[in-house]
Amino acid sequence: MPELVLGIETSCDETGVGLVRGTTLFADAVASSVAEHVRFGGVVPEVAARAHLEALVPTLRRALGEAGVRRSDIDAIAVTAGPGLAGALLVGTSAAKAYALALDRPLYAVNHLAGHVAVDTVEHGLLPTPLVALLVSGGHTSLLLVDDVAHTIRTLGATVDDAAGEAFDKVARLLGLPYPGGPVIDRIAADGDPAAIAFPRGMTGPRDAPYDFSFSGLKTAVARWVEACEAAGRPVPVADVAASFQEAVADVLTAKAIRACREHGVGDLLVGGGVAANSRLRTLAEQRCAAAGLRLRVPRPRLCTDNGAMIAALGARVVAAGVTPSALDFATDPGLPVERVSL
Amino acid sequence: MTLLLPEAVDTRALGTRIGAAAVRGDLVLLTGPLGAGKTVLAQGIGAGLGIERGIVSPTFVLARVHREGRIPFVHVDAYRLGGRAELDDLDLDSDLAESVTVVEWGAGLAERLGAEHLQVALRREPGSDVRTATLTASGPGWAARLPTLSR
Amino acid sequence: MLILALDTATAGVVVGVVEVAAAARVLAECRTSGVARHGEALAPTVAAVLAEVGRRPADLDAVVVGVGPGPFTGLRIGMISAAAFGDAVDIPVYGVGSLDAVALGLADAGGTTYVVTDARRREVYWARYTDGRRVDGPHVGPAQDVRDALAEQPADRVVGAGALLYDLPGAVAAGATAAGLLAAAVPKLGQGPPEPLRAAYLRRPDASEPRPRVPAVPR
Repeated sequence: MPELVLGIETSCDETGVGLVRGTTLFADAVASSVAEHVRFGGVVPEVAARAHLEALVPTLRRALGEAGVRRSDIDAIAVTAGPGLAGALLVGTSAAKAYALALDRPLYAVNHLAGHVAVDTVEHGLLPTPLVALLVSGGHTSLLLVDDVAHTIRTLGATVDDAAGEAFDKVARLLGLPYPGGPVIDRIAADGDPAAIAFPRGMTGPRDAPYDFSFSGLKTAVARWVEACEAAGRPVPVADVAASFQEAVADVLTAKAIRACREHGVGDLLVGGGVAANSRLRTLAEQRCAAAGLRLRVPRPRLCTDNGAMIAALGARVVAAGVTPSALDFATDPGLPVERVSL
Repeated sequence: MTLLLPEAVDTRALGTRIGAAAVRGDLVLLTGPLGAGKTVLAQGIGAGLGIERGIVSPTFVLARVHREGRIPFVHVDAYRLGGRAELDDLDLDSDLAESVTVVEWGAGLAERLGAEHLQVALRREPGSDVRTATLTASGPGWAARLPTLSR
Repeated sequence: MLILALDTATAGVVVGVVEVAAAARVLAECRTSGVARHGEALAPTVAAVLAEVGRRPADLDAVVVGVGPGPFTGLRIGMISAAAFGDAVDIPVYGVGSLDAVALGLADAGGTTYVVTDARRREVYWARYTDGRRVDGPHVGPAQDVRDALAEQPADRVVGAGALLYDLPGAVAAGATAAGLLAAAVPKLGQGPPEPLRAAYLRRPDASEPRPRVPAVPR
């Protein structure tokens, strides 16, 4: 029987604890401090770190209860070592080290981004290889070529300025909508016309890096459009702006992901990260994959946002691959590159 | 000193001149609304320090340290920091006295991080992509270098 | 009773194993100083100290941890480690004041003692003790606050890294110790389940809501 792996995730504002055996999800407990960040218009590191300290042990107890297992049933512990907020990462890794030491179990310091890929194993089974993964969240936007999620991942491209989720937050701010911007723009865009405004598609010129992204120019274009509207004394058609902006983001993301699959001869695309919960991105990815003859894997929205199950799922792959456990003195790395799947 | 920046490459070039003129311990504050070009300017400053890639918006993590240039480059987004905020609590693995620190949204907040600073106020002209940058030196170090930044 | 004592409220980490019978006896202790990276140093130090006395985590009966005040990131590393360790082996975790653990760890705590640690941002954490009992604080503020207090309540001793840093009169080095942590916890041990751990931050998070913002779109 495969090992029961405990996963601990504290890279941003969600305290996540998951339990996975092989590709079977046993528990996925999450405590979020997002409500505390709303009034600040974004995640505040100190607020997040304080919340992790309060929430971690109770969340772990909840996960054990959900799974109906005891601490002694845990075979291995995996924890996010980066990338993420420095102070937040330290709470999760310190807890994981203490559990590993006290329970005398091997510890695996793993990469948050690889977790967003590995989590799909608990939804759709083992990953095909190779695989192209499009990871889109508030802090990350990258296209990855995944040969083996346990140790071989290569970055094909990434954003050169703002992450896609950040663009949603900033455009929401421009439109006077609340934080976080992703869900609210998705909802409002449903009543708008995605073709109403032709916003630019960044980094899509013939000389641009084929797999890199840029959302800064799009943000500026939205700001200009809103300004012009106001200068002319017209009310801002918020639903049309939201729908057209969202269309521009989803268009570029899916077009580049499909191109990456085609040019690397890869038949499977995975879309993960918090922005994968966006309804337009999901729909467009489905349509374009179907048209291109690609198989698409998107974990359910609950597993796309940050959680402990993704770290447990990655831990299960790393354990199965026979990777050497991490030493108790490993350091967190807020800028950990995805190429380093475990430390 | 106010400069006209017709295109993004001009914003980046100004940043490159600032980066080339920068010395250890320098503090640069960038102000301006969303889309004014703060990140592009920061990328230029990075280029001036010899960092050609990887300078992206620090909004999500609030601070990034780039070490591959001739001086460490600390890039901070202070939008969500306020009150008595100091970089201490971000626990940057970096000594500000040994680095060039660029703070976006830092005016009125981050001045005390250094004895003096250069403020760059970016503005986009309504209805166009033309930017203006107003450079203000708060002390003799930057005042002496200001003329070298215009061209 | 075998107790694991931890504190990460200052630049170093303090880890000790203490046996409490008729009297408390420190079996092993490791204190680092300087710019220890708590997150990397703490767990291996706990493992080393336990190994030194030939005990396993399951042999422990309780954990005592300093809950500050201290710089936040380091402080949390000790607190979450203690909480997780206690949860893992199902033993109670007692929080004690980190300044108290300094005062009570002194060989001689008679008379008036000021404990002053570095709070960064040109401030200190401090408290005043009479015969080892805290009578004022803990506070956070500029070192001048301590000078003012000293003018009114002269000290027999002024200890801690903050006192040295700001050159307070008569300042000597001292830090938390396993014995001090235990002494601070003694009144709580065996008095039923411990209270939930609460960090003594003494400061609110830096982000301040009411800060006026530059509008995203110029009006």
